[in-house]
Amino acid sequence: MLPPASFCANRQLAHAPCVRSGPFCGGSLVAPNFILTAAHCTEGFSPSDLTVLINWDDVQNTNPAIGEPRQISAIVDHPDYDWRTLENDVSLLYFEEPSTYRPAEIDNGAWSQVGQVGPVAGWGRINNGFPSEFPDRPHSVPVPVVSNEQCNSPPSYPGQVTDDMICAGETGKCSCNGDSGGPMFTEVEDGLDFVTGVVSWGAGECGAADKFGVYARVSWFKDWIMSYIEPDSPKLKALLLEKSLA
Amino acid sequence: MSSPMSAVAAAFALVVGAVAVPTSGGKIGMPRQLLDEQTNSSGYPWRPHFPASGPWNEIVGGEIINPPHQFPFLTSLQRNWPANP
Repeated sequence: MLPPASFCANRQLAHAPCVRSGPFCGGSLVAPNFILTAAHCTEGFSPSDLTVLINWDDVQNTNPAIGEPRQISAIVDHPDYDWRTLENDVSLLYFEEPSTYRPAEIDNGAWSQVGQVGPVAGWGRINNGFPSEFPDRPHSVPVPVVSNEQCNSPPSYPGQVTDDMICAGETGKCSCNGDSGGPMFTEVEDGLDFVTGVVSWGAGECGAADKFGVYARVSWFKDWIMSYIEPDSPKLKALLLEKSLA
Repeated sequence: MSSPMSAVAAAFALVVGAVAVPTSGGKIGMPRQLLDEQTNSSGYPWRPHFPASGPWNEIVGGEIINPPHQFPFLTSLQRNWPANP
């Protein structure tokens, strides 16, 4: 599990058909009709291209006893997402049939303090070197939050880490290709989990010393997220209206 | 993110059915370069094209989540599912 991965990340190939199988990104159910993921995961996609598998274990099993597939009907990228710098790398995916599973909570900053240790989870690459290994079942690894000051300095990522990002990891423990969009979170108690980060980017060698995983800081985006997922959200109503007119 | 301009922009940024394709122009930063390097180095998402062998193979991916379904909010994104599992 390591830093991010994007679909068709190579700009020269961004508009070419990409042959792939399996999950290409992760996400978190944050409301019955919404998945929180990374904005870079939606690059090149229209909603009809995307299906999310909620609470799915083995992605090679197309008909498990537990798990819900949902067809995405709208993509809401953060309006300030910058694909060059990966600032504001968050997106909400809307689907019509509500999930029956309990959504994760949105961190308000209380669960993302420096030193907090929580898992990052997903179906991303689990090794460095070749051949690359991508699992059928989700993996998780506990990662400690480090300060933006440390992460934004040598030998990490000097000058690249902005306030909307949060860094976590240690040598040999990180997110990686294919984990993008998935959650870093804190288990407060059984069944109550707060999403603190969305896997965004990191060094090419996953889990290298001082090369932390960089995440979108969920607490930074809480107001924006809530503006869509809260009950009777005007933004959601506008979204649905626009969708109905499309 | 919390600026008034952002709020206005958000009101007009409902990406209904839109495709978030990066546009040309502007300087690509280190984060994007690292993201692309990592993606290209693994062969992902072009799995069939990754090299068959390499110098080393360090496992850094943690453990399989056990028991399964421990985190029901955990979700994967798929394209053309289930035709392309």
